[in-house]
Amino acid sequence: MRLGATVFGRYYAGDSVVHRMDPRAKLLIVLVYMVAAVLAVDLWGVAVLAAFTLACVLLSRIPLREVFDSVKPLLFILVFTALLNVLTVSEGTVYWHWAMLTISSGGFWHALVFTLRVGLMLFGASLLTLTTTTIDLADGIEALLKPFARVGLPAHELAMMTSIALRFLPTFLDEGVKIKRAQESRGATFDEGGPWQRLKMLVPLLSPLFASAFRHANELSMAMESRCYHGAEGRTSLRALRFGRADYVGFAMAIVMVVLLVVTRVMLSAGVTGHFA
Amino acid sequence: MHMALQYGDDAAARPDAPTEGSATVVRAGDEGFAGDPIVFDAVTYSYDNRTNAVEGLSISIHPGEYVAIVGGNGSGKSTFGKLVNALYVPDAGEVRVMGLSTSDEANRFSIRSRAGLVFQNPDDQMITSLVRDDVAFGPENLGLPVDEVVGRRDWALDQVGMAEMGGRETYNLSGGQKQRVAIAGILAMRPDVIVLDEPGAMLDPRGRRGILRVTHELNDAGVTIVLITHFMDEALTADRVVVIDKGRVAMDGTPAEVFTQHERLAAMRLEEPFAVRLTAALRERGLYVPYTIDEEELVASLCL
Repeated sequence: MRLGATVFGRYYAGDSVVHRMDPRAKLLIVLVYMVAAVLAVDLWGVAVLAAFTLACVLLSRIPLREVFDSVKPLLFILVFTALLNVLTVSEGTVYWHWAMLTISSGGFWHALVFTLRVGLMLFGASLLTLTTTTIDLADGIEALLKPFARVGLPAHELAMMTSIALRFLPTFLDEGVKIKRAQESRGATFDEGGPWQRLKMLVPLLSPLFASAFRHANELSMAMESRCYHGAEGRTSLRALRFGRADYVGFAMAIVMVVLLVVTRVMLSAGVTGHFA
Repeated sequence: MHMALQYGDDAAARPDAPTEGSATVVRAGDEGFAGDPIVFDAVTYSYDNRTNAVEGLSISIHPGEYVAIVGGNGSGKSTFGKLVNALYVPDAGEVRVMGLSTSDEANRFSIRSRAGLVFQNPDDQMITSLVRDDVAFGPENLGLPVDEVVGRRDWALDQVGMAEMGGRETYNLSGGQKQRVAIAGILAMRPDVIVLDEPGAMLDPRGRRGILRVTHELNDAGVTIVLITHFMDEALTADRVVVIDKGRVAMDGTPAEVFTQHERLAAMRLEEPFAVRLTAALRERGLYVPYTIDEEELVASLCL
């Protein structure tokens, strides 16, 4: 297992406007973006969404290839949604019909629009993690959850747990590989036999990993305590988040996009413009 | 490395300077404490209420000293570090750090920020992914103003020779570099004493030498150092060596005083430094060389 290969959710180091944006702004924009993706039900909508996405990619100065690569592991989702649409939607000219399955011209349209929407959603989410470090992301989540702290949501603790989990991910990956090799050197095989057999082979792999995780947790909690950690209260947060111009502009753009989508929808249903799809 | 480890006369730079309106951890007893920074007074501690890890341990660490605490496996030397840091509280007796008793829960943050503890496993004390965030973790917990946290972080990284590495991921560092980051993390809390619990046990010889050098530089700049180790060669560089056996102080003196008593060391299954072993072996075979703990001195007397 190699880290930094094509993994969804990895960070692409850079110093673009998008990289420097406040993680809270980016999280909010992604949220708005997802709403927009739900609203974009036709090719007009998809075009607006795609234009916005492309603008973001260009601003982030991340090669388009890299963004494609990071979405690649999730390609099967797109293939699946496309197939589902092609086979189930019955609209327009019907070419083929068998039991519950229908292939029709409308099905192809739906498949196209739907796949593009889901694809753009993945693109947007991936752009967030490509331009934001895990720590910034955790900080952003903490800040956004803070209002809920009043109703008992442990915002700081959640963020701290997330960042510790992310910090230990490579450590555990390394240990997993070591344990796997140690078991293999004693004659264990992990990629033979049926699914049940393989599942059973996970036990000698996972139980030492869990044992080690508990040991790490114990030591780490002592190290944190010895450095005066006592929760969020009275703690300085070095990584002060600041909303800048780019953040306001970015957020405004996202809102404009949603408004545009709503307007095109309303206009379409009123029959002002011709039907595109 | 440039040593200017003065914490400054600027009152605002002192960790205890109360910041208005914030819940800063105020360090009690900070003003002009002149006594021994660490005092163990007949301390007994047990993990399981049956066997005592330390038993009636009494010891005083003097200000500005470099003390090596040595002992075999299960001697209680690691327990010592955790007792200093108030991670463990004595079952009987008392541990006082800068005059503050570890048994009083109210003292805990003051004690931990004034007597820092560096652990054995470098991986388990890296709390965040980025080096500079990790060093800032302690000062952040102390609730210091942002400028102060940043200043201390950069200063501490510079002290351990890692000034250029602030932006690196802790995961990609070598063991020795991680330990230096851990020391910087403690240093950023501006402690009077740093206790290191076998900091070199998981490092290669080069990493270990680097850590030893850093501790000596800090000691030269006025920080009291307590090095818990099972490497006798490291203990040789200390001002004072305390041998702990079965939870008690077995020997206490200068390295020369301690390491020339090989029968007693052998009885505790402690290996002497190489120079001492060679001297003893030579004398046993009838070659007269004066007892020494210093390798160069041994070479000189052999070449005569």
